[in-house]
Amino acid sequence: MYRYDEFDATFVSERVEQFRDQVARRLSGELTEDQFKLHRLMNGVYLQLHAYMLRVAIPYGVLSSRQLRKLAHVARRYDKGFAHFTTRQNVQYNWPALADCPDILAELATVEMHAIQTSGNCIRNVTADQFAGVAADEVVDPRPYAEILRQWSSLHPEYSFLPRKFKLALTGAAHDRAAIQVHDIGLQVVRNEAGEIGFTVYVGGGQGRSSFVAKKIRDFLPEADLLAYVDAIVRVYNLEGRRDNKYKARIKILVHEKGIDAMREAVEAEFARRPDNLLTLPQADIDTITAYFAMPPLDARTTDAPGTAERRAADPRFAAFVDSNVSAHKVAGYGIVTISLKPIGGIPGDATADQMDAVADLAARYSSDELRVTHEQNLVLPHVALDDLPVVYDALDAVGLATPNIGLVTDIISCPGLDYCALATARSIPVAQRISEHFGEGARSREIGELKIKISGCINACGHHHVGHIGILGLERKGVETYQLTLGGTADETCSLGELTGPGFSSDEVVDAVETLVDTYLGLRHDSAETFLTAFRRVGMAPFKQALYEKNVGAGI
Amino acid sequence: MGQVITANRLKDGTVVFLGPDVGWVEQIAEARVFDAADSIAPALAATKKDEQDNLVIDVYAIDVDSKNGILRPTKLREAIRATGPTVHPEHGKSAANRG
Ligand code: SF4
Repeated sequence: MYRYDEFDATFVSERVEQFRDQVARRLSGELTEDQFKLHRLMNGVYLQLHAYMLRVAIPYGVLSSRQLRKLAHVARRYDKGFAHFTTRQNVQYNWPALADCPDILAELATVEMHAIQTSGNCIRNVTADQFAGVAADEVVDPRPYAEILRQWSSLHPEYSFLPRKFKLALTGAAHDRAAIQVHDIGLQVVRNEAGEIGFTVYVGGGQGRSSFVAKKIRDFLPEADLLAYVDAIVRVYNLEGRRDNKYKARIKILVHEKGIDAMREAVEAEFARRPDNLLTLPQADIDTITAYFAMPPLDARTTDAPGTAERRAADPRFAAFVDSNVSAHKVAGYGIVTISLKPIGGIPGDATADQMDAVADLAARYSSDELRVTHEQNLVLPHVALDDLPVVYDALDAVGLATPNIGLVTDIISCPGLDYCALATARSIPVAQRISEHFGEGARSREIGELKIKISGCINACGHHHVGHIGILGLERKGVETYQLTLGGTADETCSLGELTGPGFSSDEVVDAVETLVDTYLGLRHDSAETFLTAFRRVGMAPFKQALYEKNVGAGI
Repeated sequence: MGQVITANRLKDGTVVFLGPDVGWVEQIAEARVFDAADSIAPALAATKKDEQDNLVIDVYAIDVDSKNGILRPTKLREAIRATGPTVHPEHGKSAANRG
């Protein structure tokens, strides 16, 4: 993985010292809250309901064991012993004291981590496919390009005060695990017929008050033009994006109001106008960065993995784990293990310090010291020999992390909602917990098959409800929590936004409503190979709507 | 039934309430309750000084009522602020209340 060079290390530690000075001046009263707030946010420190919250970036979701141990240490020493992994491949601490934040950031800097640009109207943490570099279906590893974009966008003077925040996501596989079409810029790394690397570029996607699937702005952008073209897009946005209304300031509104053709014209004109080669990527630099992401040396391992096959036959839960949590690796004899942070009835995305330490140890021993964080709030051991699966599974089980539910109805995305978030209109975590308990881990959840439920505690959609197969949006009506349901959303390569079922449901009714939807699906699907999403796309809203509103007496808040 | 004044402590972000005497308290049960007879406006204005003195940030008034003698914010958001996350009863102020 990428290692800081001297420039990066100096840059990050200088930044920590600047913030230390700013915090000291705030605590002494030299800076007022108004003066300080911008600095606080620029360093990832928010004020939430109960306390400050510190958001730490995990660039494109890649972590080493050493880094995860440090995250565990920070949770233990400065927080309440746990942390929360978010849908942006960030990690959040819910209870740090402001006075401790400079020390926390100094500790993080020792393992090449920071909180820069995890807030504010700038280019945020660049996210990527969590299986980047290892997925069997991948065409090109997107991480080198994500790293190049990270370096280019860090404290970029022109883009530190954009009209609004700006998010980039990359995938290098045709199957999109990084939700690129609901980002401000989505990049799919591809190869053309001549075998050359390039990017299919999407722009103007996003969820929230106004939600849009991104539009394709370029079919094939040559590799060397990555920065020049992205720069042209961000410049057009910076100049033309609205600053008069916070709710209309994202690039998605610009693209929507201007139209994709006019947007493309403006971007291409800006792109054509750049001074020759200024941002053209030299091949030598691409190669240097790419070298950081080389596949670690993996010993040749047997592909038939007799130990694993034996255990599979004897232990149904282990078999379920292998079926749902292990994905195909590029190298024969290896698998990618997704560790579910969604134990039945648990808080999606939360991990205790002890769990983080245990996972870090496993990564060190069984996964070439590498880890990933997913936007679906899970962790990944990217290089596990198939023969090691039983021992890895047992070790995960010992710390409550072997739930075999990846992609199933209980693998729910949930934002923090009203339990923590100052912007929330309703709680989201307790709804996730009750749905999880309702469906549990047994045969039924397996029979239901792939089903993505995503829950947000307000219209900002951090819980990605627009792209849930079943999306749940928590709102407040007359002082009471109410939940709207949407169906048919997905963030993959067939990206679509969910359709509203109708009036919302009370907190008491919402789990039953989800059960009704699932039951309706099971009744109408062709067979178990037809997923909820495929079935919904075939039959449309009508049968679901009918089942929901005829059955749920008392609905219609 | 009345109102209390709430804020976050600058240094650590902890939720606090204006107490009956000088200063801020951590438990809503110990907060000063304002009603028709005890107007909130002058007290709210006076908290500006605590903001200037860097004790608290984000000061505002919330509505409260009393159920079985227990003071509770009427809004869910404020009830959660006063007691801690509903999903983590072991953290936040509900833990302190028990202990
Ligand atoms: S969706 Fe709303 S409630 Fe949830 S984390 Fe985002 S801002 Fe907070």
